Parts: sequence; C-alpha cells; structure tokens
Amino acid sequence: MSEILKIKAMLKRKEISQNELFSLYLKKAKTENDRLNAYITLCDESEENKGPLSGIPIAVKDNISTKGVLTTCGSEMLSDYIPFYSAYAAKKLFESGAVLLGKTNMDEFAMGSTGETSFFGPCKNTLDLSRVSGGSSSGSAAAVASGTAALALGTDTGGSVRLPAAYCGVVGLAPTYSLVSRYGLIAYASSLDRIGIIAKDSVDTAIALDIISSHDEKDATNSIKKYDSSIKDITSGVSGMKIGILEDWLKFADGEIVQAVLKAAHILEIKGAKIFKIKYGDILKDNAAYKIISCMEASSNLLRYDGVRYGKRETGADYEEVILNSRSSFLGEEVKKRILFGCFVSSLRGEKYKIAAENVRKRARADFESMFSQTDAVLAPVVKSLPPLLGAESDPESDIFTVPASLSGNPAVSVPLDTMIGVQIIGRHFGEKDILRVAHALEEAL
Amino acid sequence: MENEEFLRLLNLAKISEKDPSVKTLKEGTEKLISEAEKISGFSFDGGKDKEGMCNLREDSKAPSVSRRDILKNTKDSDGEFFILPEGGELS
Repeated sequence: MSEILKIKAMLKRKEISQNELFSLYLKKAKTENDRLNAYITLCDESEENKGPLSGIPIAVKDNISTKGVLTTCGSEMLSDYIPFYSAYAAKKLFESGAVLLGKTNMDEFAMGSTGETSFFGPCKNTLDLSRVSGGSSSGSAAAVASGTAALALGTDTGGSVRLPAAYCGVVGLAPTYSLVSRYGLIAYASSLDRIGIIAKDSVDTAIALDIISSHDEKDATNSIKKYDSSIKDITSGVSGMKIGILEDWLKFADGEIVQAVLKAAHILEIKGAKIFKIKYGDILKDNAAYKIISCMEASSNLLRYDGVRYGKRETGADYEEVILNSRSSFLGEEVKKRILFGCFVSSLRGEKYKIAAENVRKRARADFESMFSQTDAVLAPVVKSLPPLLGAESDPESDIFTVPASLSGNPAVSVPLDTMIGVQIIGRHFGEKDILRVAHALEEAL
Repeated sequence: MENEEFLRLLNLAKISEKDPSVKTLKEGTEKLISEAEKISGFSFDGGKDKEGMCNLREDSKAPSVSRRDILKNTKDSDGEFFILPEGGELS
C-alpha cells in the first residue's frame, strides 16, 4: 500500500501529529543508519508544513542542493559545503508539505553503481547486509526500503535510480530527460543527468512526479511540454496495451533475473496486455558510449572543484599547486580516473571515440523511436545479477540494461518482482503515465 | 599509454603528478580506454536524426556578452558589479 496515503490517513484521523511522526521516523533512521549507513546527514528539526504532502518525511540524495543543509555529493571535496538555496525538485516537495529527514549516502559525485565509492563509506543492502545497496543513489534506495523515509529523491545518469531500487526492493523512476528541472542538482554528466524518484510503490512515485514536474524557467534544459498527470489513470490497467519484451538482452542476465522478466510478461499478458518480442541494437556498444560521453562531460563539470571556486582547499606554494593539491587530496580515486579518461576522450587522440559514441547515442534514440511506433512500453531486466557482495570487484557492465534508456532519454521505471530483483519498464518520451500504469498492474498481481 | 601522454592528461585534469595513487590511476585510465575500444570502429550512416528528436546544434563562435548586458540581469548593481542582497538571498 502507498506509504504516503497511509501516513496521510493517520494524520487525518489524528492518530499522530506531524511532529510525532517526524520524531518517530528520525528515531528509526538513527537506529537503522548504524546498520546501513544510508544517511550522510540527518536533520534534527522539522517545520510543520501544509500541502498535499503535509508531514511526509522524505530523504534527498546528497548531490541535490538543500538550503542550509550539508550537501556533500559523497565527496571529501564538498564535505563542508552548505548550499544557500534548494534545488527546484526538492523545493517543490517542501512547498507541498514534505519535511526533510536527511541527505542520503551516494557514490562520490554519482560515479559508481554499488554505492561503495562514497567518502562516507558504503551503504549496505537492507535485505542482505553483506551485499551492496547499488548506486549511485545507494542511500535513497536503502532509506525507502528500510522504512526510514516515505519517499526519496535520487539521480539517474546511467541507471543510478533504477539499479539501487532493484537491489533494495523498491520502485525507482528515471523520468524523461528534461521533464524534471535540474536547477540545484550538482552536475555529473549534463546530457544524461536526471532527477528521479525512489518510493515504496508506483502510486507514491506518481504522486511525487506530479509535484516535481512543473516547468522551471531557471533550468534552460527543462521541457516546456505540458505535463500530463501520472496519478489520474494509474489504476486503469494494461488491457489492450502493447508491451514489447527485449528478448535479446536476456542472454546477458542470470537465470533468476530472466525468470523475473518472463514472470512479469506472463502477469501482464494475463491482465490483457499484448506481449511481443522486439529487437534493439548492440547494448555492449551503448555501455561503452555511455562511459565515453559521461566521463567527457564529467571532466569538464568537475573542474570547478579546485579548492578556489568550490571545495576544500589544500596548501601549496602557488595558485597552481593549491589547485593540484586540493584535487589530488580531496577527490576519490574513481572520480579522478573518470576525469582522466574524460580528458583523454576530449583530446585529439580520443576524437574517434567521441564521434563513435555520439553515433551510438543517435542509434539508441532511433531504435527506441522505432520501437515505440509499435509498442506502448518495453519490458527488460534492470541488472544482470543479484547485488554483489561488499568489496567484490566491480563489473564494468553492471549498467548495460539501464544505459540504453539513459542515452536516449526515455523514461524508465524499476519495479520489484522478487527479493533483490526488479524489472525495468521503458516508455516513450513523456510516457511516464503509461509505464507507471504497467508498474501498478504488476504490483497488484504480486 | 606512454608516460608522457599520461602526464599530459594529469595536467589537463588538474591532478598532481605527486598524487599517491598515480600508478593506479594510470592503470584505471588504460582499462577505461580499452573498454572504449569496443566502439572505436563503429560506423553508422543513420546519423540522420528523425523528426521530433533532439538534434545537437553545430558549435559556432559568438561575440562575448558585454559587462553592461550581463548587469541587465541583476536587480541591483553599482555599475561594475552586481550587489548581493542582504543575507545572500538571490531569489
């Protein structure tokens, strides 16, 4: 059942006050944080807010600016950074009555898919403490899964909302690129970054999406297209919907993941959807293209963290040495590695990779465009296998099923199907309404 | 990767040559380059975008914006710099 609607009903019946509710969640968050390390900062105070989300305790990923609250990006570089304004998406939730419970742990500058590159230590999986919670929105997924926040904001560049949501057994939505304003989001790769939602179910996801999807003139990349509410038709069912299944992708996934996708297809077919096989280009090339584009953009976006314009400052003999020492001391290894690779791609010798990557991205867009001329939604795995054990060697292809919709900017949602296993539903641009309908139909059957 | 090229990358990335993890960084960068090789030969004649899809614009040089034009965007200025409202609030 929707966590938001449950809390709203409790508050309406006056079973609990907003302050009591906040204290209850905060107490639980403190206890759970010792076990999970889901939060970097917990907020000890809250104001009574009015609106459709009155009193709903939320968590916000630590790369999304929150006025007066520490926003570290999971990095030592920004470990004392306090923004003087809130990101548009967070502000919309606060204006709707939601209260900030805390800022969540994440891979440093959102670079990672296990949550282990955080300067503040890894976030553990609520369902199995020996495993990772996934990344980069590791803390946001763990916070919702552990019941310490009713809802969380995350960010998705190559799968960073969908992947931890699948590992932790919650819903994770990456909306259409440009639908949600990124004003106040600390950039990683600007042509791919999206603010997403992590929630207990599709209803809570749709409620939050309806609130954060209005146009914001402060973000030049924010769409001016009129947003169509996702909540109003969410219970309409899938009867008559055409849903494609990316069977070619299944060969890359482990048996239990394949079973989950086929189970989802079976459920949807019983509920009246028409399921058929569809084809997509080479996803291994998509994965390489994603790395090239994201690292190239990151190498530019992260230049501002030099101890002078932003970030902690190290000592040095002169201005240049201060910058070199600050970046060497306060950026983590994964971040530095990606910046270096980004610099390589931006150089003359990297030109061929850059051009090839842009062509792969164009092919990804064309493939999805062609798919959605025949289907209403596409069913696919989220990840190749169960969450890795903490400290295991990282898999360079962990994002292969999430990256295609990142390159094309299509909306995609991860829905829990089994323990630590989710399925991904990809939609046409601005088709959030359709994919959340499919997600809801699956939830009803489970 | 030749050491000289890696030093040039360190310089571009503004990372110190004395960074204690420099060896690991070189190995990691080389690994990422080898992963990128998967698409180095990719050729695609479908670079043509379809209608309604987002096109990347061609880069072109434009004259720099003058200080006067920039200051038009601020509520308050002293003619040379914008004045930050009390308390640091911009909106």
